[in-house]
Amino acid sequence: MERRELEQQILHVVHQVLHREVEPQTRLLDSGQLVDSLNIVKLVCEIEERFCVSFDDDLELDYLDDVKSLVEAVWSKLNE
Amino acid sequence: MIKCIVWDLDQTLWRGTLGEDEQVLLPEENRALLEHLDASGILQSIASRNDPDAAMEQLRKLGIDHYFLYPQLGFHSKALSIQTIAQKLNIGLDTIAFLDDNEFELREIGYFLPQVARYHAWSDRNSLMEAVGQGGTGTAESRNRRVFMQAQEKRDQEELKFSGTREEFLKDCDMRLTIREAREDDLARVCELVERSSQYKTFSQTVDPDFCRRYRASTQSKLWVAELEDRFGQYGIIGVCFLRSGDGNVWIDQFCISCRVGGRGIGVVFLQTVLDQCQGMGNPCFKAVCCFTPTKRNRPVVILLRTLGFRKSQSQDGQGGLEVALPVAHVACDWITIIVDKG
Repeated sequence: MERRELEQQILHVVHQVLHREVEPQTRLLDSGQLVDSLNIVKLVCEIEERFCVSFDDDLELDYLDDVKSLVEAVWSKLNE
Repeated sequence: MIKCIVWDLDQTLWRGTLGEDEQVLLPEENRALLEHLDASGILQSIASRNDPDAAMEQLRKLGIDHYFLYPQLGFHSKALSIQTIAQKLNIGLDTIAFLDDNEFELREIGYFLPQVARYHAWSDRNSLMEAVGQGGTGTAESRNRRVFMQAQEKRDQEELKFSGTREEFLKDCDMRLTIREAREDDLARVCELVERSSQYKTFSQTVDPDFCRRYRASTQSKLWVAELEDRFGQYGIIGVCFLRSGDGNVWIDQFCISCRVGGRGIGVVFLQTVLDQCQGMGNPCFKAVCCFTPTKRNRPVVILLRTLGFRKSQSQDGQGGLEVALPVAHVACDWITIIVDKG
């Protein structure tokens, strides 16, 4: 899969789970900003299932900074 | 730990088949079991292939409809029904027990949902009783668990109908969170909540009342609880936090909230409030360190901690830990009224 295609697919998943318009720069999880934690959990589970990757051992959650970081993390895992 | 029993109806909850037999009968031992499980804080639901209206009408006639949460009545797969119940109750499949008279149904669940414990309606009754234990913890939260869940169900239904934003709905709920130090009569509930929590729990170790008493007695530590009520009812103690201070640090030895109240900002507000209170515990604290055990189910609490700015701790070897500089960044949750009860 091309990276651009992966980005489009992830944008689609994020839109479906969070029910809002998103672009690569959309912030997902910020210090000091409350998010619906259940929706973010759903999003991670959906991404893991859809792309057969696992974020189980990642406590930093940098991949949830914004959509671009999420794409980067999934891309890295797919190419490990 | 079994948190919910899912009943089949025909030849399991009642004797007879609805729509085929002239009447169905509720055996006295089943009525007694329904009452016993309810008083013990074990939730109950239904997965049955029956006409939904006729089945609900029969449950009402027998005076037992109020025992069941999110009953799944219809002609779809029971595996799907059980998955729906787990999702609605926000509990793991491994905390569900399924009771049916039909070997095929039991095997089917075993195939598709191997995590679910399965019991034959009549021949496995003793094993079921052993698995659920002889009684609950005796806490008010345990005795009223089903009522709390019904308030939650009503809240969920109103949220679906609500036309505004999620934040507007949360404001409309009029949530009041009382945060205070635990008292002696809270300790059974504190231990129960630590044992039952899975998604919003930082440290896997359970606690007993003696440990809680020692923790409370120490001048270096405080045991905090959070009680929630909203316009749908009271939820009792839904959060526990064990905080210890020393060497300029605050150690979060355990933090958990009930899965029932996840996704509303309650955990974030509770933790930031008790961390603020710590600054008044005597010595100034510059950093909060959270003892952390990653599990397959506690990702929500990692996300909660990250919302408050926690990052992976550099100081802990081998054992996972997360830390943040104090004071923590304040997260706006103006839909929750916080009451700090200083006794």
